[in-house]
Amino acid sequence: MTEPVLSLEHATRRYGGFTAVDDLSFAVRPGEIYGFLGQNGAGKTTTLRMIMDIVPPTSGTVRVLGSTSPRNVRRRVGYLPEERGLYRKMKAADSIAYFARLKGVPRAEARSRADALLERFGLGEFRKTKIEALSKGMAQKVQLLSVIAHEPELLILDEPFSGLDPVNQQLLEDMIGELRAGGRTIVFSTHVMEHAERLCDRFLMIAHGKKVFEGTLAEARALDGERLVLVTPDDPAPLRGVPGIASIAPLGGERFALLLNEGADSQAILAACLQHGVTVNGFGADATSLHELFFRFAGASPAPDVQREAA
Amino acid sequence: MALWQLIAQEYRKYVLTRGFLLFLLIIPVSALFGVAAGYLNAVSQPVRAFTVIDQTGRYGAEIDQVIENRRVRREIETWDAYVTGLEAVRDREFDLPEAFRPTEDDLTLDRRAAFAEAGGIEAANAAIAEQLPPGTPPAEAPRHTLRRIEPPADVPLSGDLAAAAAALRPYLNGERQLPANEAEDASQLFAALLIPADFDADGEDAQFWTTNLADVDLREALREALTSALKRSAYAEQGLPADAVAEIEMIDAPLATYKSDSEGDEEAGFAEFAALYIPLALAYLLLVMIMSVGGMLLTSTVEEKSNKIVEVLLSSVSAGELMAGKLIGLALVGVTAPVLFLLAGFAGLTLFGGADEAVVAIRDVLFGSPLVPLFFFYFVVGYVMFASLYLAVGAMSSSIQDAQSFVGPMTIVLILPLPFLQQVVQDPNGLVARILTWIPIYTPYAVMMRINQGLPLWELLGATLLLVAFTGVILFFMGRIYRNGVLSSGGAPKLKDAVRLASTSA
Repeated sequence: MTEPVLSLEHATRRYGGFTAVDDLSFAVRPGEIYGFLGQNGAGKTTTLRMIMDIVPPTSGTVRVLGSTSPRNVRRRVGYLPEERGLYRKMKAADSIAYFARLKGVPRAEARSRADALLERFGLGEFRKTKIEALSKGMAQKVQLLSVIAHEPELLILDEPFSGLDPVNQQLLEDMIGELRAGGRTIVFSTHVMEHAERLCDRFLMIAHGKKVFEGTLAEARALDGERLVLVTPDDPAPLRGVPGIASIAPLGGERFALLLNEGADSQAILAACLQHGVTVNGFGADATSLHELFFRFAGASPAPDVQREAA
Repeated sequence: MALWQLIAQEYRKYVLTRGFLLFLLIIPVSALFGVAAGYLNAVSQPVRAFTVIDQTGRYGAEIDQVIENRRVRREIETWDAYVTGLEAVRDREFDLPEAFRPTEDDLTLDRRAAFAEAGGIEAANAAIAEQLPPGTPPAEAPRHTLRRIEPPADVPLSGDLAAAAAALRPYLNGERQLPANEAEDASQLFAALLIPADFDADGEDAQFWTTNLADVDLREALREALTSALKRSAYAEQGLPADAVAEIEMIDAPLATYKSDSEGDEEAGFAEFAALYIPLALAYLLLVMIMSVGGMLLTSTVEEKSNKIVEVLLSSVSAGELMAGKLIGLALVGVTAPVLFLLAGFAGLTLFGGADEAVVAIRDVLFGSPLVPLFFFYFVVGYVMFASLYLAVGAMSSSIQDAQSFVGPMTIVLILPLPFLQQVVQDPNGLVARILTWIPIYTPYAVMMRINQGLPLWELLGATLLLVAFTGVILFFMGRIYRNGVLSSGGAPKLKDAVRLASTSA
């Protein structure tokens, strides 16, 4: 196994009496897209700030690109914070060049990279436009470009999709894919499970500052157990107690999830449905979505904003 | 490296703005306006024709004398300014007769008489002409704007003054023109002075008639003439001859100023006054700079904080670098305007050939005293102390409105000693001066003003150590507040939060 690009060992961060991140350990491998999932306030941003050495951990170790002092490798890391901003009076190309220069890129190089990036992402004509005159989507793109202009090996994106319309969300997904293809390692946090499901190789889920799961989607599903989806206008209550069915959960509408015990026979369960007079409009195996897994693992009650953004 | 970027960014952000460029323009433009207004005023001032109906027959000569004195006075003032300006520009002293030599003191009667006797401004121009390169424009005599004319023929000169006034009204109100030959270039009567036959200090009033009450020049001249005439007759009644009175009135006590602790027994000169006024100027510059740069520090910090730019910045540079970048970058913004104006002034002097003298004077002042570098030391320390306070307030605020609640009291504390500065200047080792010296936030001001005035060494060292220590402590805790504050969100800063942030190490 290659050396991880980024690892946390028993990292804890307290603000006064409040523990934002509690004994968190995980590792990100080179070249992967690593999803960082958690509710608002779960400790995502604090963890990412510890990685960037903006706040130091109260205890534990943070190792980035082989260094325990992330400050030393700052120039090889790009960081897009959750709440974004640029100098409103600065021009697009100047903004990108400025942040690249702060990361040690020489002046002429920074300027030419800024122009090239804007050109490549369809903003060439806005090079000399002030940020305040750009649309929100364009400004977000400029911000992302300013984070990658110094060609970082590791890219940390905090909620990169929030506030983007679907078209720009797709553009960003493409960009992230392209960066991975270029050999970068990408860590991004989100509470929108669809993006994570599509993009990420592996996930970390945290709740209340603690790790609740780390691994691939398949591993998460395996942990969760097999399930069937039954579509019926009737009440499936009579199916309780049928051998092989561990529990029944409504999925909304006429859909119900039947969680199965290990080794349960789905044919026998279908037979049981007919036997108990439950109308079967649909029946079949179903891969649990990350969305549901998240609720399961994080033990979270669907907070209104999570529900809305996930919908 | 990154620090340099931060400084350049702060500097560019404020200097390359329309507002700053306009600000740079305002001062030369307003100076030009001032000059233009003065010039227009001098050129366009109308000739004021006035007439006097004097039933006593005693005051006409006195009035003419006062008007003439005023004219000579203006002529001398014009001439002196002309010569002083030429001497500064050519860097030489002209060889002139005593009557034409400019004086720094107020105009004496002697000088006035001598100047007029020597032939006035025309003779003066002739005296200097050979010493000037050909083509130099001569001094121009100011226009003579007050002119006394004879009353129009149809105005009754004796009898009831009311009749005379009634006859004069159409002329004063512009309903009738003056006869062309009488008035020369003035066609309308500006004012009339009517002196009744029994006019006296405690007799009947003289009457001044005009439509223009705003222009008091003429009225004051006439009042002066009548007053001095009345005084002279009063002196004569007491038995004092007119000559003796005039001589007594010319007495002016000679008083030379020496500085007891400066070398030599020469009269106090430029260096002594420079030593007094440079610290005063620096103290005010410090105050002005803190007030203006403080606002920029606030907006810059609050903008980065509310835009969340600060988080991106902090992923690239440390909070300490960020703070230093702001302090230095904005200090440079603060001195840009004064430096530009100085350079412009210097360029102007070079153009007119007076630069050498100015350089010598500036060098003498800057390097003549070992104390001058100290002024700059206090200037820098004072700036760092106050600027870090503003930074900390900015770091704790999410918006400018939030910041205002802290800035108000800070500004008051900052300008509190202003009323006392005069006292410090006049009594540099008095109680007020000593108290201000030992309050660190006022130490830079107080020491700058006392250092040339026999400030005891132990006080200087003690207060300076205290100031440096205090500034160090302020910088340390404000740095903490800045580091901890810029990432937190919340409303207006509270003292409680400040204490909490300052006591958190990271």
